[in-house]
Amino acid sequence: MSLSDIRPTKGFLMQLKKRLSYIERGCEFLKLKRDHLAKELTASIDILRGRRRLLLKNLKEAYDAVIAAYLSLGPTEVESQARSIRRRLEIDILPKSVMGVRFPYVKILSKPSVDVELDITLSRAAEKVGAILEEIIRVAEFEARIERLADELGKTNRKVNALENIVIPQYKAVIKFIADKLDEESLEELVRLKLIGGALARRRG
Amino acid sequence: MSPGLTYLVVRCHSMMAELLSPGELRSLAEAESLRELMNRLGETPYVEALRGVEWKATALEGAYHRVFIERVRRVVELSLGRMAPFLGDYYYMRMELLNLRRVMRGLYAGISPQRIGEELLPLPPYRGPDPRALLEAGDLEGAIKGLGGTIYQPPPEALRLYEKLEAFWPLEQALINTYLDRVYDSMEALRGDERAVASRVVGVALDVENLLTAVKRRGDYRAGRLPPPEALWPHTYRVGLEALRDILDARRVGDAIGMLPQPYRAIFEPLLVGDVAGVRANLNRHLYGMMWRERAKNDYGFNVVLAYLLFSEMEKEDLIRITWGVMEGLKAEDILRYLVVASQPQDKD
Repeated sequence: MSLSDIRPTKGFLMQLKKRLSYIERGCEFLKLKRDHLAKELTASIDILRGRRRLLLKNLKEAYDAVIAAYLSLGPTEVESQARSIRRRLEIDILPKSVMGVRFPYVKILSKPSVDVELDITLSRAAEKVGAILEEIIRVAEFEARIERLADELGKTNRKVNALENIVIPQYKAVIKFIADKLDEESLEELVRLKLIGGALARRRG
Repeated sequence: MSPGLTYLVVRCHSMMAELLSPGELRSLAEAESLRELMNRLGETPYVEALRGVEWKATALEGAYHRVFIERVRRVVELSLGRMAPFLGDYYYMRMELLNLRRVMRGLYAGISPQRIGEELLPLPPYRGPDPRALLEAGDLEGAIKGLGGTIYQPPPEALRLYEKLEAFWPLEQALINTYLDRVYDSMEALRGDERAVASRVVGVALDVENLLTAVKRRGDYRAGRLPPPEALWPHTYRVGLEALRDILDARRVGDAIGMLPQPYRAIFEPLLVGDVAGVRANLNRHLYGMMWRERAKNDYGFNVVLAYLLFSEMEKEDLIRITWGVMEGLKAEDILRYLVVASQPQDKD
């Protein structure tokens, strides 16, 4: 708020006080949102850690199975059989919102289906990879969610800090300035009235 | 021993000297880069075959196959009347079958004929049509028509199952059964002692593949989608239909595996920890050891011929595994787990 915008009037003072009350209430809501986001973020990070650990373990098993298939059948046969898997992974990315934070939700439309005959080593590998496909997608979703939560938490925190440390103090300072100004004017008025009253009384007397 | 057989046996002995020793293959598996592997291969009989070949796993695999096919060709050409059909059917037909499966699987999945053509082994037609001619049919139904009148024509039951289940495996199983019928027919022409060795090699491998099929098909069996076991497994060796039914019916596969006779129980041990590839590695090591002993029993006959071809094939498979493993940066001990010749003890050097 610049000095040129300040009108040291009672009406303006009341307006400012009303605005300050809204801003303080808004700041309280933002603090609540910040606390909630922080809690949500911490819980999500813990869940992600666990999911990642499990995914890495399953991923290692899947990779081991794929390596074993390659070493057993040779690369040409593995690639020939793998190429014959017709249905691919199809996904749709939809938005989801929690507390105003938008993050992607992956809807799996179709998973690869093994409707051709794979050698047993390769079909075991395909089963393991298929089983973790959905896990990978969910972990990726979680990571995006955490990224967005952290981003939103940062923004909310900055807003709260800006309100608490800059805007509210500014408003309070202006309100004090106007209040002091008005007090000064009313004191001057009072003194003026007293002086005028005294002068009038002296003239009459 | 006939002069023809003498010459064949002597040639096989001399060709066996060209095979890479277990130590040489282990050294290849320990290469730390593809360049180092290719440099080491440059000091082996593979140097000519690898000249000008792109350093891609599939291209190098093709080169190893070409060397093996040439070795089979040399032996079959020199073989006597009774041996040539068996060796031709056992090896050429197996490779022809691989080509036909790749063609049919690829057409079923809608892969471009050009792409399928790149995967085929460089083998002239043996008992079936030229697989490249089947590719020109453009789809699986056309390819099936192309097999009409040949030994590989699918029987009506297989076609019916293919249409009913909308699955490719009945056609594949029909091709495998055709191959086995042919191999067992041509085995009949061998002399008694030769047939005994051949049937052990063919039979143990057949039993293991039958058992793996039974493990894989448990889900289909429970869902009632399997044909009767006699139709699925027309040939067995020491593991009969009863044992295969036990695998299908067992609540836990491990229990049924534990009831198998040796050497199958030992061969299937990796399956108990989910390592199916380890089963095939054990099978191949068992066959290698078996042929080593058979060769030691009779160093002047059919045993030597079959041993040379079997050892050649194992060497080829080991080279394919080593090449891919080195390209992917796998540790030598991870590659060695699945190697056959390279895992043999030092005294086989």
